[in-house]
Amino acid sequence: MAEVTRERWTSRTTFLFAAIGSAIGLGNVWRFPYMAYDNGGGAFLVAWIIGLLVMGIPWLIMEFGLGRMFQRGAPGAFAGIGKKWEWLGWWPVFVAFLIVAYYAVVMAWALRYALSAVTMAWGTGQAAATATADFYYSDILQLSSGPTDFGGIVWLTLLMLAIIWVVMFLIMYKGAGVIGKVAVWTVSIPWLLLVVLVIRGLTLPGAVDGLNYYLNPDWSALLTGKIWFAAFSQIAFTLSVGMAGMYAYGSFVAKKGDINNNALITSFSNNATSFFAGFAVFSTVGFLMSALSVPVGEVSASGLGLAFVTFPAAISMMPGANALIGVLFFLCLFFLGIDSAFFLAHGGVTAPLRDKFGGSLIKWVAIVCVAAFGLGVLFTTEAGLYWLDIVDRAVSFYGLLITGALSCIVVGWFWKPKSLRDHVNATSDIKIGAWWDWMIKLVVPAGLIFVVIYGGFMTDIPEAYGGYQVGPFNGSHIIWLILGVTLILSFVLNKVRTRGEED
Amino acid sequence: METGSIIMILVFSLLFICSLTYCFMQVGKGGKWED
Repeated sequence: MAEVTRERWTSRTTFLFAAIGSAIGLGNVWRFPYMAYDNGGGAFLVAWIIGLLVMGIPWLIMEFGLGRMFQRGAPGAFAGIGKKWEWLGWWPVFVAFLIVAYYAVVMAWALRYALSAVTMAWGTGQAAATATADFYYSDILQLSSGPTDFGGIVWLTLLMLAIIWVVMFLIMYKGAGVIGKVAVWTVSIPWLLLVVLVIRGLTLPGAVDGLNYYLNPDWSALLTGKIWFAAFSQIAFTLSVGMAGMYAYGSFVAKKGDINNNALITSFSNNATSFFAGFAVFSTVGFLMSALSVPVGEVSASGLGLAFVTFPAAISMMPGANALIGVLFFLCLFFLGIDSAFFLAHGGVTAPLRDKFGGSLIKWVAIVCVAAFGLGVLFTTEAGLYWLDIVDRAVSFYGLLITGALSCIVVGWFWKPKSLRDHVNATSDIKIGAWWDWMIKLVVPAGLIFVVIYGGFMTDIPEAYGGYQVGPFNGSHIIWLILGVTLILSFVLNKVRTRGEED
Repeated sequence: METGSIIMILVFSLLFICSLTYCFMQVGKGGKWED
């Protein structure tokens, strides 16, 4: 790989905040609490912690460790294992690029909602509570009839997207040191906002009912495959592993810096945030159930529906401070997202490209920001939500899980996990034993492959994903196409000669 | 609130507090951060 001046974290604190910020994202708020509710409440938490210990933490240590060991992002780390494996580092780079292209659009929607909340544009009171879906689909998205009916660009979303990418550029071009310093704020602010939202949620009528849905355990669920699928998939998606960025973040760690303890702190902080966010979400969902006299199944408690339909509905019915809570909630989502976006764009894409081709940081940051913005325009059209759903399924589900499983298999079976273990143990506060080798060899890949088959192939092969149709292709075909094209491009980049850097 | 929910809140709050406290207590035992 080309020699470049390596970016460095300015301190352990900035690295930890950047890593925690990348792990904590929108999924902590809109995915985890619903998974717990839907999979045995408190019993899910037990499976989720086991998943963290046997899969999440070993995987994160591997990504941090390989990055630090080879002082490169994902492709450079796999090229260090063996040149023939470099493609396995490029595949998650494409995953990161595609994710950040649409992730920034979701942040743009959050900004639009924050502005709309100032005037409570979706209304107040019970009538408004039932109209938030219309506000989301008609006013914010201007959703068309299908993925080929592009309509036009939603200009206000495009404007927000442009602002986001300008801000991203201004922070990213100064490198890891500045990203770490910014992350101190972009992690702390949403945490403070979450505290406010939890306090507001817990003081609403019906909050306790919501929390019982979230936490009351159904232990019999532990005997079903569904809960283990849910727990392992949640762990796979929540730590931001499998998206190339953690290799680069590890590579920015000083040569004598800790790996294992930082991975543990990142993981536990991330999961503690998920656990805490559940109180904000389900206390509010409980309030809405109580106010509308509907069961929990009738309110959308996860994903985009939770953020952009259910929460605005709950906010519109709150007895006071509606606009303030609305602004705070959507700013919280924005700040939760922005450090994950830094991570994807900088650690996931910019650093590997600079490792490979050399050149100045500002040049690559500009290229990545412009390219991701350009692709993001697709998601700002009136068909944007359909494409977001398809691309998300392709890369954030299949891409992440398959590249993660293959990475662990290569490290575990075609290389020497013990040499990586010795490397990270040499400078880490907490040492890991030989058990870690077996987690990487067996448990992590087995867990990921289980999730791919059980939650993916079993539905997307017999049925067209999402019922979408684009010319002769259905939704599943497009997913396989995206995965195939990015895999081929990864092999092409593997073959491209690495150039030197003149810095 | 259901007893099960209260137990879950206590157990998992303690688990996160204790594990993070332990991790932070270990900070520095692997050597200095700087090159």
